[in-house]
Amino acid sequence: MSRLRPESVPASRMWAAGGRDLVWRSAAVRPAAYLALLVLACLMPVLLTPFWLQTALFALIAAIGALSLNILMGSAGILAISPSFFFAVGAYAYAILGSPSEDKFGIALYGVGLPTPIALVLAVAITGIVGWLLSPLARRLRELPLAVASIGLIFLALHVMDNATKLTGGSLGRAVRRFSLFRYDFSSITSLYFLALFFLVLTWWYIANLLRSRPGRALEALRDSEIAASALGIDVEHYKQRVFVVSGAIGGLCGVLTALAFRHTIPDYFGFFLSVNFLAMIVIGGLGSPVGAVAGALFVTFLPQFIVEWGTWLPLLSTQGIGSGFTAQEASQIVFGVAIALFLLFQPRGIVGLSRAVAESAAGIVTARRAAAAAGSANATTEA
Amino acid sequence: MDILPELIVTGIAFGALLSLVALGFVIQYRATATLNFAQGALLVLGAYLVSKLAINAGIGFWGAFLVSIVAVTFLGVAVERLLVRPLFGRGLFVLGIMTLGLDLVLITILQKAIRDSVFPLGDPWGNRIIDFGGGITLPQSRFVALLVAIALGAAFFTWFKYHRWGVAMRAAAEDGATAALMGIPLGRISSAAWGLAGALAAVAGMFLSTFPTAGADPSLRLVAFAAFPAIALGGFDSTTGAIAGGMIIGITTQIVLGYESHLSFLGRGVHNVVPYVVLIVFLLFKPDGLLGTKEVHRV
Repeated sequence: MSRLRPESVPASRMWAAGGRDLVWRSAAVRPAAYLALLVLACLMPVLLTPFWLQTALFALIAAIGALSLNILMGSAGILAISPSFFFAVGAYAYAILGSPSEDKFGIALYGVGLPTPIALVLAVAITGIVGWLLSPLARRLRELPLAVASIGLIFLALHVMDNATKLTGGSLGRAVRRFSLFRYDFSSITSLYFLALFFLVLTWWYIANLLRSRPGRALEALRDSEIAASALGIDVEHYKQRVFVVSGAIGGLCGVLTALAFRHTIPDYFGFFLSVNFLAMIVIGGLGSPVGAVAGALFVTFLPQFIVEWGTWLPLLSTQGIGSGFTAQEASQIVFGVAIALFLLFQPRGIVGLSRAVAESAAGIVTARRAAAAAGSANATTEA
Repeated sequence: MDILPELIVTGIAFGALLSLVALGFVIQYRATATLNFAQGALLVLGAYLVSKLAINAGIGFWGAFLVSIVAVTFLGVAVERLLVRPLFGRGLFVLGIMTLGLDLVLITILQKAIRDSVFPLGDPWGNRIIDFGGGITLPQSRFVALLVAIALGAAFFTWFKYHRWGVAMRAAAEDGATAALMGIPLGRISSAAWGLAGALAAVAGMFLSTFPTAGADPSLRLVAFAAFPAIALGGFDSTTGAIAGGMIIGITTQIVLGYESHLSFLGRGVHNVVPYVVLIVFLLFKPDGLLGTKEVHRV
C-alpha cells in the first residue's frame, strides 16, 4: 500500500499488523502456498470429470480476463467498463489471422492462415495496439463520460462483428482453427486446460511483478489522486497509456483462449452482459487484488454449473427452462446480483477480505484461548 | 417525396421520451452522484406492470398506469434507502456496480416473467395514426407521449425552480454540506430524487411500449442505454442538457433509421450505434458535454 492512501489499509489489519499477517507475507510461506495451488491445478485433469474440467478451463480463461480488467479498474482506477470489447478484438484477430480463407454457408470468409502460435502472438499484440489507440479516450475523459463511451465501444464492436461478414462471418460467426505448437494439436480439453493454465501463470507472474514495482505504485497513486500523482512527478498520461496497452493485450489473450475453447466465435457472446459478468468477478473477488480477481473468476464461472448440476435441490428452479421456475442460468444471474450487493454492503474487499476476516477471527479465538489458558495456569500457580 | 420532415417529427417524439429517461438519470446523479444502470430495468418493469394489471387484473388501462407509476416510484425510493445510501460517498464506481447488480436481478426476473410472450398494454390509442398533412404522420400514442413529455418537463422545471423541494434539491446538489447546515434534509432529498426518477421511468416505459412497439419487452432497456449518450452529451449534471441530449440522440437516430436503405454500406442496424458514434466523437472535442459543469481542480 502506498503511503498516499492510509484509509485503504483496513483497521483490522492495522491492529493485526504484528504476527499473523507477517507470517503469511514471509518469504517462505507465500511461494509454498502458490506452489501447492499450482500442483493442485495440475492435478485437476485427473481429479475432475470432463464436464467439470471444461468448467475449470473456462474459469482459468475468465481469470486471465478478470486480471486484465482488474489492473485497469482496480489498480489504475480507470472506469472503462468494457472488457468484452478487448476479448472480442483478440478472439476475432486470432480467428482471422489463424484460419485460412474458406467458404462457409455460401459466404466467402477471408483468413490469413498464419501458423497458429504466430497468430496468437499477433492477436495479443493487435489488441494491445487497439488499447493504445483507445487510451486518448481515457486521458481526455473524466470517469463518468469514459464509462459511457466504453459501453458505446461494445455496441460499436457488436455492429462491426455483425456486418463485416467477409472477416467475421456475420452473426453466425466463424470457425476457429485449433492451436498447434511443434506439430502438437491442442484439441483435447486437457491440453487446452494446460495451455490456459500456462498463460494464467504467465499473466499472474507479469501482473504481480508489475504491481510490486514502480509502475504499479504509480498506477495506485494516480488512482488515488491524479493531481497528487503528477505533483510527485508521475507522468499520468504516459501511465494511463501503458495500462491500456497492458490491459488490452491481456484481454486479447483471454479472447484468443475463449475462441480456442469454443472453437467458434459469435458476436452475441461479446455483449454488455459478458462485461457485467467480469465486473461481478472483480467486485466479488475483491477490487484491486489479483488474488481476488482469480477467486472472483472461479466463483462466477463455477456457480452456474453448480446450479445446473445440483439445482434440482433448490426451490423455485425448473430444470427444463420452461414452466414456472427459473432456469439455472437465470438463478445464477440473480445470485450474482445479490452477491454483488451483499459484498459491496458488508465486505467491500470481496472474497479476499472475507477470507482474511475469517482467518483473523479464527486466529483471534485461538490467541484468546491461549491467553485464557495461560492466565488460568498463572492463577493456578499463584494459588499454589 | 422527401421523408425528412416526417423523420424529424418522429425523432422529436422519440427524443422527448428519451429526454424523460435522461432527466431521471440527471436527477439521480445530482442528488446521489450515482449513474443508475438499473434504470432500463425500471422502464421494463413499468411497462410490464401496466400490461399485467390492465389486461389481467381488470382495473383498466389508466388505473394500471397509475398503480405502475406508484409502484416504480416506491421501488426507486426503496433502492435508494437500502442499496444506495449505505454506500454514499464510496465513489462512482462502487455505486455504479451496485446498480449493475440490481439491474442483473431485476432484468432476469422480468425476462423470466415475459419470456417469449408479447404483453400488449391495452392502451386506448391502439395503432391509430395522425396525419398532419404534407406526408407527416405520427402514431397517435407517440403524439400523446410527446404532449405528456412536454407537460411533465414543464412541470418539473417549474417545480425545480420555484417549489421549496426543487430549490432544496438544487441547493443540495450545489453544496451538500452547506445545504445540510441550512436545515435541508439531504436523506429525504435523495429519496425524492430516486422516486422521481422511478416515476419518470414508469411513464417513459409505458409510452415506449405502445404502438409502433408491440408491447412490454425486455429489449426496452436498450432505450435506457441510448439515454446514456444523451446525458453524456448534455453533460451529466445539467437538466436542460439532458433534454437537449435526448432530443439530439432521438432525432439523429430516427433520421439514420429512415435513410438506412441508402446507408447499406455501413451495415444493417446502423441506427443502433449512431448515438455512440455521435457521443464518442463529440466527447473527444468537448469532454464536459454541452451544458455540464466544467471540472475545476483545486490543489
